[in-house]
Amino acid sequence: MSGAAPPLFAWRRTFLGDGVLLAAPEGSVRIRPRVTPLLRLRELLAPVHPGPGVAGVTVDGPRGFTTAEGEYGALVNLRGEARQRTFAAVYGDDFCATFDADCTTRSAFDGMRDAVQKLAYAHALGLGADRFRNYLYAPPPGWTGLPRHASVVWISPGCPREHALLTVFKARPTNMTFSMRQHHRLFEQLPREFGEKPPSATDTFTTTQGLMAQLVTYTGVVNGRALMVSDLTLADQRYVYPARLETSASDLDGHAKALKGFAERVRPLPAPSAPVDALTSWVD
Amino acid sequence: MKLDLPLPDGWIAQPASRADGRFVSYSQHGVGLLISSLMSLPQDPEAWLLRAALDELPAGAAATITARGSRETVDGWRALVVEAEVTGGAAARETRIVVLYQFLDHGAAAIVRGPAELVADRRDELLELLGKARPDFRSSHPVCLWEVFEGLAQKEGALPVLDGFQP
Repeated sequence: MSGAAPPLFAWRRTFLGDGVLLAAPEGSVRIRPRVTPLLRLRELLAPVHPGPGVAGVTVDGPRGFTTAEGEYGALVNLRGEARQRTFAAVYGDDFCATFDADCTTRSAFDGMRDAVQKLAYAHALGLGADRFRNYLYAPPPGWTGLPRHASVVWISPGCPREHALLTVFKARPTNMTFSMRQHHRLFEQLPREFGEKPPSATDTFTTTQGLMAQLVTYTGVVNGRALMVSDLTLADQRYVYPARLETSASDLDGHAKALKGFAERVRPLPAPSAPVDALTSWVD
Repeated sequence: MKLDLPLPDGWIAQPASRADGRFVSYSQHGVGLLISSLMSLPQDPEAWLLRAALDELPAGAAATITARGSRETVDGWRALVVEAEVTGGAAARETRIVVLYQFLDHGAAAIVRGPAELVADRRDELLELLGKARPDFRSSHPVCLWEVFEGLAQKEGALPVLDGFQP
């Protein structure tokens, strides 16, 4: 945020087919509340530039941020001598909201960037915190992610000869509802083949991100194939973050090491924080 | 996601021959090759294979299953194979080789069709080609937040910083 007081934009609103346009004499902000399909940030940013012939462009960002609702976003500011573009995106589960500002009044550059920052920070995706959510983790390098219902299966590059799958389930609130239990039974619970032998002792530890972790390993024979499955359950006060490693190997220590490595690459979901009033200068 | 089957030079893409749009079509020296996209593995793979082998028979023709079995691709993926011979009707005697690949809980198919003599002459070459198929599970869209914010991390392999500012 700049130290100078931002100008009070006299926004006028126009409804567009895919959102709204806020226009002021100094510039405009186009807000698209639901952009699908989900795109990588760099794909969203690819067409954003101050325009041909704009000299002396400096780029600030993209910088990641967390909204008042606790959702993830990023903002980039591209400032030329005579024109500035500010672009922000706030990500929901399978869509994002975008804020695309164009400012041609040099004295309003800081204010316009700050206005976009506030608009994005205060934006309501309206998804609620009490839901299955994607969370931030680093997948094993070189593995390929295959989306499934409420999870992603990461396939090792050695598959199928070296069978290794890491399933990362969506985070869910710590208070399991009946519906969540049903979901667990339908899509996550191990088949009965893994109940024939007693599981390993539960290994408990705390990650450097402060998540409480439990690790249990099961073995079983499915369709004639011996499999080892380790269930990792990470938890904080608000969410549970389950993951599962399945291999044809029988190396218990190797399993634990791989999953503990993954656990260190999981970041807890952010909590909602104090909202701001981004539209104090609304006149329309 | 798609079936990755590297075709040598000489295979020429053909207009889509099936209405369902799940197959792309190629031909080389009178032999046709249909390659499917990745799909959910059929509940009954054997039945699916037989249906595919007997599909689109010319009027008055009949098909006979001449071989069926299981093979492994060069990467080790399981593939079910059915061969059929189509006779009768107006068309020449045709050989069909249908392969259903099993990639975890996904499947994909490749179907060779051609005059029986031409396919017989190239059978080993065609089976070797079909054995090179592998799944490409990559999605054109990000499947996790890591991919969404790819490049935002301050160093390779690190998690991106997503609490950079707060108004």
